[in-house]
Amino acid sequence: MLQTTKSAAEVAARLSGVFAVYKPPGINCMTVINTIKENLGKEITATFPWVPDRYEYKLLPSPEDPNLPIRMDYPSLKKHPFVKGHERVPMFCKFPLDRLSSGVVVLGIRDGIKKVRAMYGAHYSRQYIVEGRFGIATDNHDISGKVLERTTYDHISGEKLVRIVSFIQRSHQNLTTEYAGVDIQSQEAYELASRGQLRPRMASPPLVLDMRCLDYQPPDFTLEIQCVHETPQWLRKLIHDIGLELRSTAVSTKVRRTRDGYFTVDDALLTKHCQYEYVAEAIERSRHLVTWKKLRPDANFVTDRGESEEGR
Amino acid sequence: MERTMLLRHCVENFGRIFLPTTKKYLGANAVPMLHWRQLHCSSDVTAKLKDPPSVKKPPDELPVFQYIGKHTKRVNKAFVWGNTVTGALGIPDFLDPPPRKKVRKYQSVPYCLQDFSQDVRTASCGYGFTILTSLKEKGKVWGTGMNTDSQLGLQKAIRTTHEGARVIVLDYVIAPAPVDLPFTQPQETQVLQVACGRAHTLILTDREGVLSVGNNAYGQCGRPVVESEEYSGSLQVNRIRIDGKVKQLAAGLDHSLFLTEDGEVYGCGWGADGQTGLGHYNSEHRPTKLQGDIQGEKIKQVATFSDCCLAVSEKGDLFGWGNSEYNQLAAVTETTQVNVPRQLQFNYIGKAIQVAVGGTICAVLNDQGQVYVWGYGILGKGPKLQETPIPEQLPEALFGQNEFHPDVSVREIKAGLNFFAAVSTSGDLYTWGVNKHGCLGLGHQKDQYFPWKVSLPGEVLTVDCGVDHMVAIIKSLL
Repeated sequence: MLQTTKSAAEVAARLSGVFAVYKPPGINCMTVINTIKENLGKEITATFPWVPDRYEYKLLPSPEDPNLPIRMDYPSLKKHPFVKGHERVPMFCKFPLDRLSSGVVVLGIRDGIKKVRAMYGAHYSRQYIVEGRFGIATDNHDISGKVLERTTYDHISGEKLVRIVSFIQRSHQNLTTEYAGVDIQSQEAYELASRGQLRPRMASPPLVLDMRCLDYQPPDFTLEIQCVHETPQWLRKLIHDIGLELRSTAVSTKVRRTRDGYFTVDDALLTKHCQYEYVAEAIERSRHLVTWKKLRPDANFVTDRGESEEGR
Repeated sequence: MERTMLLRHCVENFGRIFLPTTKKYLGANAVPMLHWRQLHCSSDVTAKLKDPPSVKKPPDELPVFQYIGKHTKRVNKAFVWGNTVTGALGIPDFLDPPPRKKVRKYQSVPYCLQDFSQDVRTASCGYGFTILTSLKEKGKVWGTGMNTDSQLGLQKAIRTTHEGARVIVLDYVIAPAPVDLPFTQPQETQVLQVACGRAHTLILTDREGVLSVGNNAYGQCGRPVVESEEYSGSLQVNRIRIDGKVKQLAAGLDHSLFLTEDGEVYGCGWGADGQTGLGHYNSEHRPTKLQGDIQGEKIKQVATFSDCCLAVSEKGDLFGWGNSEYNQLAAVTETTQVNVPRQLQFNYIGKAIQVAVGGTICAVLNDQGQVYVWGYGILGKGPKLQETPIPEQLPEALFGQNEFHPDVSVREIKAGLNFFAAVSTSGDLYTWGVNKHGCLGLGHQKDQYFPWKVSLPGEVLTVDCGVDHMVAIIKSLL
């Protein structure tokens, strides 16, 4: 595809859409995005070796006769990549991850930036796999922080953990319906509630839609959380709150986003695969996930495992 | 010599704090002051100072705190909410507030009944009063709320005035007080169930039958009506004689129903709407067996709250009698009063296992955990559905069933006068209906047109509804 087009600028201009990247832990998200941006631009520029398109001339005095100028043509360096810089690939991310967490990050290129911005208004839910450990409390609720307190955790059985986790999930139930933007005293609220479609449709505090315990090997436990309007640090605080409810303390060891809206881990590219061909193919593959129909504010609520309920 | 004496003096008095203490030195009105070291140290020798915050201790050296023991047991707790004015909630601070606090007329959010320190086993709500039983002392019964007809037994208090101490009979009890019941074997008898009506209480025990207390104006206590009997301050407790062992009680406004282990239903009390089901519209004081369509059927549960009665048989059939002014029994009859039990044929319901009746509303729970409602009023299907003569199902999604939790359904359904309460299998309480005095426990006083979850800090075991208050028994999470 690269070889049939004319120039680097045209290739860069045609690269637009939305795709997902898997961000590894330990790096700043913006660093990852900027590196991808730069590498894409450099790759596009490098595929088209610079060929001079214009020639300019200078008039130099000839060695024989100082009054007779000789015209010296030289190629214009205006479009040389060393002068102009590599091609720009504008990219945008609306929901980045922080340094300690990992997972799916949705990026938009050029015209895809509009769609990524619209994802904010669509109030998508996100799925995380969060791993925690009982027995310590740190200052940033993560295992990498400074340990402030140690507690016992041998009283925590798997059954107690499941009970507390389901209690916390059910305690968010009323709030998710309150932020649905409908009057609770109206027939419309009943219609939506009876279909299970009362979900947050406006700006709300972080809410948990579903939370369940996947595994518990004392002191480590794993949870799967579907939530909306959250941040990774809020999830770590949630782990801390679970520890407090169980009369112990807990810190998070891993926060991993496995789904952002309709983009799952299967759709996400690894950072080493963020080259032009793979990115263009990923954009084509995920084109059906970001139709304008799916981005309407009141349209869809993404359910578990990527199936969606179509809006009215 | 003097130097050694001085040295010894210094060593012996090392760390002692010397301050001017005699009044001669301080002055006549002075207060002896403390040295700053005396404030911080409890011993004469100065203690080692704490490490400053910049000194970092490795995590292994931090002490390990234990907040809860390994074998701590979960406890039962009672949560109450609704109208406080009669004292039915059992929290004296609402009506006799501490200084600088106001009287609270209603409690719209669940409040923990902590004064009742025994583990609560069951709770029954009547019209302005509540009866509680405990896990620890199974033969005792506590009552709180309205006592104008001695529905809580005789409750006395000593009032001291400037004239002297008097014993007065209490018409309102604002904290749970023991109800004195004349058991022949008080140590062995266990109270199984309590049912409360408008102004009477029925108590079911395991070995002493059924006892009834309170108003008997229509014979609802199972004893003959005495003309112009004074019910306030009365010590009358009646033991009701019924053929067969009673396994469940139900009390309506002014009538009582008894269900025996053989599946037979006996009724007594006011019958003007046919709620006794005995074939006439008069009051009856002798508990008499109900005939009609339930004859020959083995009944599993009876329910009544005001004037309409419903019963469920072992096979899952529905029977109803009593008031039908609001289309509760309109499926089988056009008349507004039915005085003989009639079977309500609703084939699409499936096998019914529990039924709940309010003033104008009825609900049935089937073995799949689905709830069907009918009657008149706020039924739970939005503001549009005001009345229906045949049951309509409430979608399971309203009770927390969704794609994440497909197995959630309803475990228990109860009704107050014009509201419902349902307990789901996940241990949540959902209420809906007319929200009088905050009796739905949702934090506001607006009516709720479809089931809404009540925030309770635990797993709900059971709930009971009165006219304008509710009691929930929950098991703590840990």
